[in-house]
Amino acid sequence: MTERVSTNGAAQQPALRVANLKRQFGGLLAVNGVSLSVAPGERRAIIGPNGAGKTTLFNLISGELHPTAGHVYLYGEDITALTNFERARRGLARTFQRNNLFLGLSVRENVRLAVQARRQVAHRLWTRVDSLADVLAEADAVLEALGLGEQAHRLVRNLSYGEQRQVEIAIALATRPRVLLLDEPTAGMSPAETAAMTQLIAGLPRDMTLLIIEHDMDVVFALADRITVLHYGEVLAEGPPQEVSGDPRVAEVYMGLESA
Amino acid sequence: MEAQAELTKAKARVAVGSRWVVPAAVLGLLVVAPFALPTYWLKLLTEVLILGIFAMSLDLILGYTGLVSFGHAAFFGLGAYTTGILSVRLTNHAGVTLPAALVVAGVAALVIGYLSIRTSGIYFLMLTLAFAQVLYAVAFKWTPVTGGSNGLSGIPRPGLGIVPGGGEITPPENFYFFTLVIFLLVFYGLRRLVGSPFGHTLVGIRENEARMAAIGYDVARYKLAAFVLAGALGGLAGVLNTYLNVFASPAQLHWTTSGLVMVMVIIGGAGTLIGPVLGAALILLLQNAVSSYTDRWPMVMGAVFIIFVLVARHGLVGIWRALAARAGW
Repeated sequence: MTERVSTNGAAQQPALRVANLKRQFGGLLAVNGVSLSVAPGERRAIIGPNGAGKTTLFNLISGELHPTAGHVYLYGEDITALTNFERARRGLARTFQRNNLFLGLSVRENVRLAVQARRQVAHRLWTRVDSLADVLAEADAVLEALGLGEQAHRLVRNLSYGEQRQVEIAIALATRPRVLLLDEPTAGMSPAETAAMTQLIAGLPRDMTLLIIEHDMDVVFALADRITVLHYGEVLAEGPPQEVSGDPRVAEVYMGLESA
Repeated sequence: MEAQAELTKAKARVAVGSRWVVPAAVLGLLVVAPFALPTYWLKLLTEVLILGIFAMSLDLILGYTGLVSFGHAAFFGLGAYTTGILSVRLTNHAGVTLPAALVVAGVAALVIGYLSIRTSGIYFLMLTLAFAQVLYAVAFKWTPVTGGSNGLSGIPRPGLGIVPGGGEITPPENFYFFTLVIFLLVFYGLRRLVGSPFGHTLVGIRENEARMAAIGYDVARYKLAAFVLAGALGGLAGVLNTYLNVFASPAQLHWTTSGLVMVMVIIGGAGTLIGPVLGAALILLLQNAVSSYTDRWPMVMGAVFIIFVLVARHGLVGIWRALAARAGW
């Protein structure tokens, strides 16, 4: 019995935990004491009106920004003091709200650079890139999985916006993250593209922990196991989708704004 | 169907063959050049190779990594002076002066790079410029060691012999071949490097530094590694320049030298390696031709530079590629 409890305890180690995280920009508390805990394999949606601090929270988790106070833990390890590239190496990846790509490079090279980073071959000065067949194969596998195989040799610059949005996710996936932060993955997409992207995210491995910032409530309900609602940098509500959507406070600050 | 496949295969063979035609022809010409060219032109060709190395070294950081350094003269000058001072005071043996100068230039690049690499854009440009100008001031003022404004003269020719003082590389042909071998090694080495995971990482940094960090690259370390390599190779060019002219001058450390090599890289085509070599050749040939008619060489060079920036942004290599594409190669 005790054994079972202890193994359960290990399994219950959150994939990502954020404790009393604060970030101040001048007089503005963009993130004001946010605490949340995301279980391994959970898919958590972060919603809230514009300016609620969602992207700032992501920047604090991924290490693009450092917090004024508070801590970030990845599988129990305190990563608060680490840089973003050190966090990335520990299996924390993110996508960006606005496409953040290697526009002048091919689709394949965009993804290959991410594979190369994880496989730690980037310091090699004398190896030919084309000779690292396993790196290329892994990059091609990611492209195939996302339906980008046909586009592999096109420059990212020349892709449609929707395709570029897919490359944005392909790069993050190519790092084989344990925890993936998706910042508005369907932003700016047509309804058809949104549906395809939702399906793509739904089809990701179940052991990958996802945090998704999303405005499209259909997408949120299709993907999220739990929802955290941010408002003025604070957690307003948290729970399963049905519970959160029924919360009158949430309806007031968020759903109300949406329908107005 | 089969005929089609055969045709494709044949085309591929021709393509593979023609890929080697131009380089092989150029290499052949470079090898026979000393037997066909008068001494004056051979010296000019040697200078092209030396400044070609200098320009390629800047291309590694400017063209491939996107680091716009305006102080690359620092490493050229350090290589030149280290060689000169050692040759005057200790030994002229290339086996000593060349590695020593590489180390000095490389260590200087490590220090300058470490202090500048965390800045970017205009700040990086100004910092690199400032460091080079400091070295220029040192060379200019420290007369007992550097010869001051007169430059460092009385430098013996480099020796390669086993006996001290023996085996000086005196005949121009010999020095030309010495330079050619080093040039080819550097060119091949850099070609391998830009085709390696490391080289691709540099290009990724040029394209989107922030995303490289987000996917796990320690960007500053890669930039510093590229900067040190470029500094050491810039120093190598300075070494060869001192060997060739048996003279080192503060002008080699002046910001105009940094500007000149940047012009070579841009006119030739940044991020192509061979382009900056062609840029060096074009600048030296033009300088040579124009200087015999007028003193206003800098004005002519300025005009050429403006024309390239306005109508041929990708330099000589860009023009070549556009012509090749039009011809359907």
